[in-house]
Amino acid sequence: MTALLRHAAFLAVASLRHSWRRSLLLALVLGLSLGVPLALASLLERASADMRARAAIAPLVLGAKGSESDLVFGALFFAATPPRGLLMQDLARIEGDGLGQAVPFALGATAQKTPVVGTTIDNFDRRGLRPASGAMFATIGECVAGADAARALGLAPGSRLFTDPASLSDLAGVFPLELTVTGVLPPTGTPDDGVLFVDLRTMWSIRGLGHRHDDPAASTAPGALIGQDGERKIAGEALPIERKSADGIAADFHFHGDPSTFPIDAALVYPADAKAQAILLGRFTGKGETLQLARPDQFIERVLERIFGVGRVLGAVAVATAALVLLVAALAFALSIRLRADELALMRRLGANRGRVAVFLATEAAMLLAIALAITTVCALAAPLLAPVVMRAAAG
Amino acid sequence: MAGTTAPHATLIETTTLVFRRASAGGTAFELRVAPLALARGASLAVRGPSGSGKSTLLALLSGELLPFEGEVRARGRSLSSMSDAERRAYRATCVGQVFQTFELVASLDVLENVLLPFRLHGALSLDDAAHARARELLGRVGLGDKSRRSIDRLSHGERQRVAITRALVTRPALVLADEPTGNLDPALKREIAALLIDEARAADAALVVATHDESILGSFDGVLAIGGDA
Repeated sequence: MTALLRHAAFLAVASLRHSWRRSLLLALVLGLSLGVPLALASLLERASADMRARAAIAPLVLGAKGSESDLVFGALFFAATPPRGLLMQDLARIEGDGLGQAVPFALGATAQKTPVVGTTIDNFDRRGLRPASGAMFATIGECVAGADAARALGLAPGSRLFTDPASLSDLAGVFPLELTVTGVLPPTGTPDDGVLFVDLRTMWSIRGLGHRHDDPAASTAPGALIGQDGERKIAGEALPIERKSADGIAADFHFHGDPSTFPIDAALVYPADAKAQAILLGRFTGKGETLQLARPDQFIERVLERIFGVGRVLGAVAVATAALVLLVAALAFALSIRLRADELALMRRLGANRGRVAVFLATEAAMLLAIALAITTVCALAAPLLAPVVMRAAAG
Repeated sequence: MAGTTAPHATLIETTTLVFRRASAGGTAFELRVAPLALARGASLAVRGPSGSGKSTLLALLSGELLPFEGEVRARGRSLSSMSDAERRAYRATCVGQVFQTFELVASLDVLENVLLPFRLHGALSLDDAAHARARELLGRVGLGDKSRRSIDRLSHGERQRVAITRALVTRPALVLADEPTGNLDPALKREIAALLIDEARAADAALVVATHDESILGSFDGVLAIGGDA
């Protein structure tokens, strides 16, 4: 029996190798047709688990009235732009009477095309997130990089990079700000891995709400220094705005206007208890209300229901396709046996019985199936890696 | 006596054989062959026109087909009395076959084609001795340096040499060759026929060659004419 199987394996390998293009094509078609439904199921499973886990980081999300989807996906996944209109002072409606804590977020900037997210240290304290190397940002111009962002951009504590201009048309108003990396976060498998976190004041500076100037006396720009009042230097409009990070830069930064009126995009809300949560939810439902308080867990469930609805249809189509492909593959294999009728007849004439020839063919089919199943396995294992893409697609 | 060869110990002997088959046109085909006896080392050419039943006679001698009347006895035992499995074992271990269209397996190289019979029946063992025998025979037929070559890269003459080597590798007592020179150009016909006879004789195997090629008949110990030429 061992010798028979050894001979069968030898002849099967020789045959598959001889017609390797046909074998590979057949294995690929089979493998993919079986792998796609599995991969789809696996991918949806992983994506939904990731989305539910992310939705669980905050019970509520505060934002301006508008698209709930943009608000939740913007605040939790940094994958959408929340409706504009939320100001820092609005957080007082959450925190003013001790009903909960609100952690603000400001989005919309990028550095080397990587999202820059403005927030406060509370965001990290709430989730027990600490840099794996370096330290947390402490002041304007400092940032902490997510693990993937750091790897992609080659960042480490001490690295510096400029934020991107919002658009070419903004060049006259908003200049890039140089950021200094103070720390790199550990990998979390969440959207946090792909962004750069900065302090809210840094984000406001990027948006042009805060800045510092050259020393008027040291500036070589004509008209930079227009007078002196005792020790105070009087700067002219020509004094260049300094965007470069340097020691002591934060002390020189200043903001024009009242920071409580500065814009933010969203806030993660942590109610003190269930009663506080109920009160807060009621607080933002009034007629004429300009803000909304979303429940991310419920919202994500609704999104997943839609995705799984589509997924179920796709899965059914994929299973039907797989069945069809299996049938076609079986026919193709049967046809290839027919084409090799002379070879099989030769084996019989040289002394092989029907059983032995059947074992040879079965071994060849089994090997082809094994290759196909290997392709299927790769599909099923690799699919979850695309979960972030599904999350982005769902957000888009 | 046509059909009876050298006076060695008889390997194969037949009574008058009759085989019938309905032909494609609906008319019955009947093959009737006079008794013959073959000893080891002897060679016999079976000549006759196309369709006369030369291949059928070889199939009767190999046990692939059984006669309607008469019997084929191999080493004194009737093939008709054997079970299917016994006849397959007889074919695998006692008979080497050469076919007109070579019948080589394209996915196997020269050496593996020669060794193929060892993979097809449990009575044969693919051991070092088999490999040595295959290499020795390939060397004898001038293919020693092409043992790992693909069949596709061989000339017709080389392919037939591979087929002859495969027929001899199991040390069969009987070699049956069906039109072994049919697909070859005239220059190669004599060479292949001589090679077949020499190698069969060297292996002490009885050789039966079906052919309608008059030019090679003189090389055989005997000639059996069947069909229209009989």
